[in-house]
Amino acid sequence: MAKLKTTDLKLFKFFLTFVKPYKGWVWLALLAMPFAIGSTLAMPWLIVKVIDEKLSHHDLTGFWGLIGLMALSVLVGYFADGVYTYSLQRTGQKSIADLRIAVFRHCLALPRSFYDHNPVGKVLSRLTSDMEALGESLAMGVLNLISDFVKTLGLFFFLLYLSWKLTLVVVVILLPVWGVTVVLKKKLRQTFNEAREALAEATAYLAECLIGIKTVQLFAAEEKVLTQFNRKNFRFLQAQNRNNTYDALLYSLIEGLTSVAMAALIWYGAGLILVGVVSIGVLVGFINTLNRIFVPIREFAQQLAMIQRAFSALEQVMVLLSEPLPQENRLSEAQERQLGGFESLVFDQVSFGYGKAGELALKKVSFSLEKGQRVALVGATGSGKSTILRLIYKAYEGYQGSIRLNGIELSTIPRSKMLALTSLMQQDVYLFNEPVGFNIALGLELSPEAIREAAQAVNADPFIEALPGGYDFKITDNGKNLSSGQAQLVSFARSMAKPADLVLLDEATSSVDSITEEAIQKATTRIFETKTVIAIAHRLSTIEHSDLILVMKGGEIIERGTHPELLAQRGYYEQLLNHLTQEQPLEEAKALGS
Amino acid sequence: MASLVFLLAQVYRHKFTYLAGILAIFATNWMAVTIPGYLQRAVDLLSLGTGGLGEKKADLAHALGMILMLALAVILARTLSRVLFFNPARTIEFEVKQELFDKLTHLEKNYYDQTDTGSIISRLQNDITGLRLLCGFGVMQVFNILTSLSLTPYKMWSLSPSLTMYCVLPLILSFGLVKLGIGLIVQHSKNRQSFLQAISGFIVSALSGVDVVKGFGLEKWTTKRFQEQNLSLVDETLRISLVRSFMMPVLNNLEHILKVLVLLVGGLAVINGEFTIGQLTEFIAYAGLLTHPIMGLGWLSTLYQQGLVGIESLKTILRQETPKKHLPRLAEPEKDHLFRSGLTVKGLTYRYPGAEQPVIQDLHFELKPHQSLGVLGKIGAGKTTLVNCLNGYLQIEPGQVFLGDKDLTALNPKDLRQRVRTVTQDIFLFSQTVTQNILFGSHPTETPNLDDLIYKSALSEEVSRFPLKMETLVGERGIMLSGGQKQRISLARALAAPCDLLILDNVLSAVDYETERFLLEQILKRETAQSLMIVSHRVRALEGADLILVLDQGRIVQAGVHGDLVNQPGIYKEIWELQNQGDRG
Repeated sequence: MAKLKTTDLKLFKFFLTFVKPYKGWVWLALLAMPFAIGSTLAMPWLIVKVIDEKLSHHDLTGFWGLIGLMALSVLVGYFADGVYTYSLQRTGQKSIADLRIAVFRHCLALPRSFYDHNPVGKVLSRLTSDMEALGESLAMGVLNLISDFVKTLGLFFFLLYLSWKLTLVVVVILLPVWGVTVVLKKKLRQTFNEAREALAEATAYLAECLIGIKTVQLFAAEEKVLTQFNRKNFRFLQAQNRNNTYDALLYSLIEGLTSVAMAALIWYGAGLILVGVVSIGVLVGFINTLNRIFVPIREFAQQLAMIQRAFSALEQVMVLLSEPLPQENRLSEAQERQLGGFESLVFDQVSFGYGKAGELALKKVSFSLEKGQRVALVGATGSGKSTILRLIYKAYEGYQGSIRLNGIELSTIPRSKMLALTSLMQQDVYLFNEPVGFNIALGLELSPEAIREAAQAVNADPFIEALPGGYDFKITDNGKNLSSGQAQLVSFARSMAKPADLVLLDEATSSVDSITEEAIQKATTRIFETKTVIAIAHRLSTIEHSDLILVMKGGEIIERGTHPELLAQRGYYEQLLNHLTQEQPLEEAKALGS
Repeated sequence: MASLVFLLAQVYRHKFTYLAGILAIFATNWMAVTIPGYLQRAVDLLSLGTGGLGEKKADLAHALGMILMLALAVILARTLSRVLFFNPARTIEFEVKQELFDKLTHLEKNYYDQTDTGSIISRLQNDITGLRLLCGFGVMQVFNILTSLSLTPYKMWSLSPSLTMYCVLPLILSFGLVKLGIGLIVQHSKNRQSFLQAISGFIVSALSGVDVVKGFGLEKWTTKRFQEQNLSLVDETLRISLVRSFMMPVLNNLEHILKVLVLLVGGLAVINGEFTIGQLTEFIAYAGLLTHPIMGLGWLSTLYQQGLVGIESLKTILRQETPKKHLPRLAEPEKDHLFRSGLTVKGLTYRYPGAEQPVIQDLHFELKPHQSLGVLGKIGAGKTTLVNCLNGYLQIEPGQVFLGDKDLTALNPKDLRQRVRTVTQDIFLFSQTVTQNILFGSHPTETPNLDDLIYKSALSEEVSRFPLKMETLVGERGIMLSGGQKQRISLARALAAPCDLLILDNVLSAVDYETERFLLEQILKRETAQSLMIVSHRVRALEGADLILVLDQGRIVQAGVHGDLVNQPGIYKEIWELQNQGDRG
């Protein structure tokens, strides 16, 4: 239990850091509070005064004044409550908004490998429904809890003043109530977490099915996915129902215990009255106040349940926020200067494996390239070609051995720097729900001419011009309204527009037909002349003009050299080429190559 | 109105649970009002003093015993009443989600073109909450209020009709003000909900493309966009909270307002000797009792309005039509004969909704059983559109495509897609295991030979290197895999269930030549599909086809077998030469 409390405290402190910028509003709320409490206390006092001093004596003098005071206290109470509630809600909502941005920033900064294990739908849950739960519980739970607490405390002192013995009875009953609350609270949190987890899972599955709806329909798997969705959803239902039961039990127990307390008070009070220690008036006063002290305690349980919700949500958010970010080294100024442009890249005995259990995808790979060189990676699928590129643009970290860029160890270079230095073209296309022009320029401030130029370089201009609205045509859902080839061209044009020295080509033209590809190759040759290029290629025309060809198999470089050198070795490269040029006699290929 | 009907229909399905809940709540309220009676008696007995109490001690014990018993019974009844209202509400949530999901899986392309995924998810997550609260807490409050609101006004009226009348005005005024507040809240909640949907959509889109965001230094832009949306969300929330803080509490203060009023009017009557202090106190107590259910009523209408907003939003999904879902299914033997005389395409023309030019125009061809068809064309020639017309993904006009003697548009999509399988170029894998992905399209009772499948899909060697072999999770959308691996898993998925026509839409683009040749060999054996349609940029993949169509700008410009086409001037020859030249260097 104590452990849970410290967690709660930690969570609370964590949230407070987001509240800090809005402490002015908190002060305003605190300022309004005495007025709110004062007016609630003034009312019963004024009523007693009116009844005892005016009504029972049939005295009209000063009657209007007292009634006026009462009306005033209602008015003051109303405004003070309003100010209190609004300023705290404002504080809460603003803090949540800041928290949301902080979490979103964190999510953007998280490494790719995080999203390998955490579907976006789950993260979405953290950023939306958990935040909603947080806001809701702040508005309904925390706010009332604070004011109720202060009011209950006041009433408690009022009871002590009336009779400490009877107050003791109340305390004796309050203790087990507290115990029950604590136990049920724990259960509530468990079931709530379970429900939230189940909901996140069901939502993630829903998101997947919606994104992959075409696959679902083309495989006539509608019923199958429905069954799966129902299974996940049912888990949520069950957890939620258990949660409901505990919640209802907690609520009703405390309500019922009020009556039990009454009976106990009368039983014990009867004895006190008989010996003349307590008057009946005090006992009746006690019983009436008991209602007003137990109701907040019942509400208190509700509010606690609300706050539980907030804490669970906050906990989840904090777990997400504590996902380690890739360590970004600060570069010294000298290093910054050294990384002004691409000079050289050296792989020295580099090994790398994806999972912990998995086999190594790269085994002691060494090579180097200089500015302006072209390197081609060839090999069968899964031989480790893509892994080399992924390490260079730092999609994955934790390699063994040494990779040096301009002489600086890659692991010490911030990923942002690396991404700025390289231009990556891959098969996987990602487009924003924005106009085509924006998708090409992205972060760069490009003129429409420069955008068009980039599109022309990859032969995308004609089809873009044909779109309704041309470069202003808005892309929806990752290019759903373009063909795959068109989407790839847009993403290709985007890479061309980027002024980076090092170009990484990961089978960038796989969805493009040969005629278009030919045109792209011609157009890009000019652009690539000034750049350093590492390409994964299956096409001989791309490979043979490379300054260095690395032949990969099973994560190792088994042959290296230029096209003629490799052919002369008569090794695996020759075999690969054999497959590449199935129909032509090898001699012909060799003759052409040398 | 329609939303109310929808709501009632949901509740009606659980009528017995609700009925039991209503009984429980009546019992709860009845016992709760009985307790003060015993309390009154106990206090009266005590007021008799030392002398009077002596022989009535048993009575006091009885009264206190009753309070204790009733208190315990109330605990049970109240717990039951809450469970009996809240649990069916959760079940309704479950059922409506199921219905929505079922609907969503059957909605067609045009719906998904217009609606982004994030907003659909938001509806299934947030709008359904409104419905659930209404079905649970809302329905419970209705009966709670009904029970408590029936007695109080009657008691007040019997004490003093004129004083009761004075109370009516502030009641109506404050309720009117609160109603106004509720109107504002509902309106802003609607806005807020749409902001929440927008922000959900943006999060999904930005985080799915997190690498591009980083690669192009777009963090600032993305964060700025997010911040804008976040701000409008907060502003809308704060507008709601302004109304909540200053307009809604009028109801909370109603008790005090009534007290002041009753003390003023009633107090004057007391001073004039027309009313006693005791009566006044009693009346004030009743006025206090009155505000509670009225407050509940105000709250209930908020809940009701918000619930209706949610239902309205859910119904935009449920209202969508899925006419194809209800097309008659074929009997098994009929289904088996569906492809007996092959596929006939007669004058197929397709135009995307809203587009001026058709993407494919006036296509004619036939594909007989046991034949293979190749399709070649440049980007934007209409190849994928043709594929999507044949598998029923796009809505074509009747009379253009026939399977045997059946018009494709008259077939239930399920029947069609069990006979015609497509491997699309935009591959989608679920974040499940390799096995689950491969078996995705096959019937649960069929257990295809997995080893054989991954062998045919050239996956054996790589799968053996996966950390958990076939049980390895592929990551979201198969992110753990290379493009070629994804293509081959999607191929294995298509091969896992036998069909009549297998369409491969440019699916081998990311595998190397050696693997491609192996795969083509396996596919051309046609062990699982009798007919094949291969769409590719690579002539090599098509050479062996019984018929090759060359598409250009939506029309068939050339048709024939490889041997003929390479000798004709045209696109085919051009591409073939380019590719051969490329291979030769």
